[in-house]
Amino acid sequence: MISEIDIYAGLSSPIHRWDPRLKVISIFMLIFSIMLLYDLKLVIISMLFAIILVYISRIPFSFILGRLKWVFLFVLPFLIILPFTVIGEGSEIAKIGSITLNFRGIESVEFAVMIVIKALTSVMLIFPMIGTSRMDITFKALEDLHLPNKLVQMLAFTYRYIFVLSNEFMLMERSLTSRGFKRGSNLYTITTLTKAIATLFVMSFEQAERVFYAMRSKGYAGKITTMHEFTLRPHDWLYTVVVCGFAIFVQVAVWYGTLEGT
Amino acid sequence: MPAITVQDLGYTFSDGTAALEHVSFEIEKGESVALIGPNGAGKSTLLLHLNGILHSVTSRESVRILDESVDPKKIHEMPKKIGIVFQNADDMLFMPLLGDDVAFGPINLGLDKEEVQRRVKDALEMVGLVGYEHRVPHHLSGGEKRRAALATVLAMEPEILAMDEPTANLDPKSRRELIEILRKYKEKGKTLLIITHDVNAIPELAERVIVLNKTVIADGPTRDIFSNTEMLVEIGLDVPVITQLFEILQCFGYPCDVLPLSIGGAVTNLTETMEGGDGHVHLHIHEHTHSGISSARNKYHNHVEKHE
Repeated sequence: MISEIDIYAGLSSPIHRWDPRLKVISIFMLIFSIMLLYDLKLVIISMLFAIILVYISRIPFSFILGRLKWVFLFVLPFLIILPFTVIGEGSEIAKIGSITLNFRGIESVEFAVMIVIKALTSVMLIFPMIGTSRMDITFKALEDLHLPNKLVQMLAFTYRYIFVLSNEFMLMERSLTSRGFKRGSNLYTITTLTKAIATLFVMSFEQAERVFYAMRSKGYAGKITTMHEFTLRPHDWLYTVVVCGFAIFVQVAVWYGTLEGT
Repeated sequence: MPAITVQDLGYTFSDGTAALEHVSFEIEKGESVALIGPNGAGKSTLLLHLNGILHSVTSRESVRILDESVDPKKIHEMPKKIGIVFQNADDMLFMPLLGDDVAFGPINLGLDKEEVQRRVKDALEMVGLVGYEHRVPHHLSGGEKRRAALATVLAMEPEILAMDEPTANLDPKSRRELIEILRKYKEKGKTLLIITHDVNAIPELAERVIVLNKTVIADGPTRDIFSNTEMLVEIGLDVPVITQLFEILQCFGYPCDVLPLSIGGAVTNLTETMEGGDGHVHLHIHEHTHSGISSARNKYHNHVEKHE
């Protein structure tokens, strides 16, 4: 049985076979590089590159789109607000009381579109980055990359106990329902659920203490070590060169463009 | 050599409630002991003192494991000596994969890779979970989780194994499997300390019982403790069902001096009685039968009536 978070980790694709350490570093570098871009054309090219990566990884687009939907809702205000703010003076198109609405030209629309595409592309890249290896292997990769041990442990424990907590909350909700509680859009629902969640936090605190006791009982002295070992093969480096190469390419293109512009 | 020595141990929770008061007992190496007591008697608190996780200024000198006092600063060295299996398996399985969870303890003991792998394999084999290394702990069933939690402790090959309610909330098959695992461990000559409310499992697992209710109320061979039914009922505990049945049979004139504690004991007892009675067991109703039965039954139903 696999957990939902690892649902596509068992597929077979070049991205799945890529060493998780190099994969995390390369794609993270690519995301970083895309975040630094302020050129719509290059951002669109990057998005196409990301789509190709997702296609190679065989993670269904429907799955990714379902999750990008929420990101889109989050960045949607940029599309609405940015064209009327930020760049230049703009031309007045409406006046409501003391508030004037200035349209700042096609550049500002481009700017807004670019921000939205950058956000969507970055989030899209997360899927081939962590969705193509089992979560525990990714954690081991992070540890191998010398990420602070405490940070990796925090991630690993969050991952492990999110299921326990969601299960506890489900049990709690069932117990509420079986005693006649009905969810609605009223204050009673909010206070009841708030209380339930507060109790869940207290319970999780107590469980954290018990887990800590169990770890101490098993000789834990501050560091988690595991037995997994990674091996690097030529194709790992090839994929790294391609992805990192693209990340560098777009930056060079920006730099070149700036040179030409001057 | 004593495996566990507890001398005048006391512990008070931060809210001022006394959890343990003047607890003293000694368990020899190779002994298997059941620790029983009502809810809130301090059993789990006592368990956490055995490897130094809970400690207080007064408790430090009170607990000795394998003839060495428990130093709270050296808790990480304790797993070699005493392994503790917690009541809730979810507290014990915290790694992404079961294999990692079982390897966690041995790695912390500083063993080399081959040895860790051997321990993981052996421990999973002992609990009947061979091939579960790559399973995700939170997707195991309740019984599997309990056995997995046991494996994580067995992998450290501790001299003493202490368990908190190993058979609670298990289906009959899982319960039986767990009892068998513990019996095998016991046969290896290891020291066992089992906290349990499962009185029917005690005769199979422990030859000695310690009754705790903040302090040690009784301590002796399993048979002696279970023959003191008044004391057990008084603090809210029970005796095995088989024992209760034979007590009723006595009222029907069944000749039985020593009440059996388990099915095995009952079979032996019945066989011996029949062999002495020309292949028959004679039961009859006499003038004291009904009053005897009602007094025997009342004794065990007292739990409820007393509080009414």
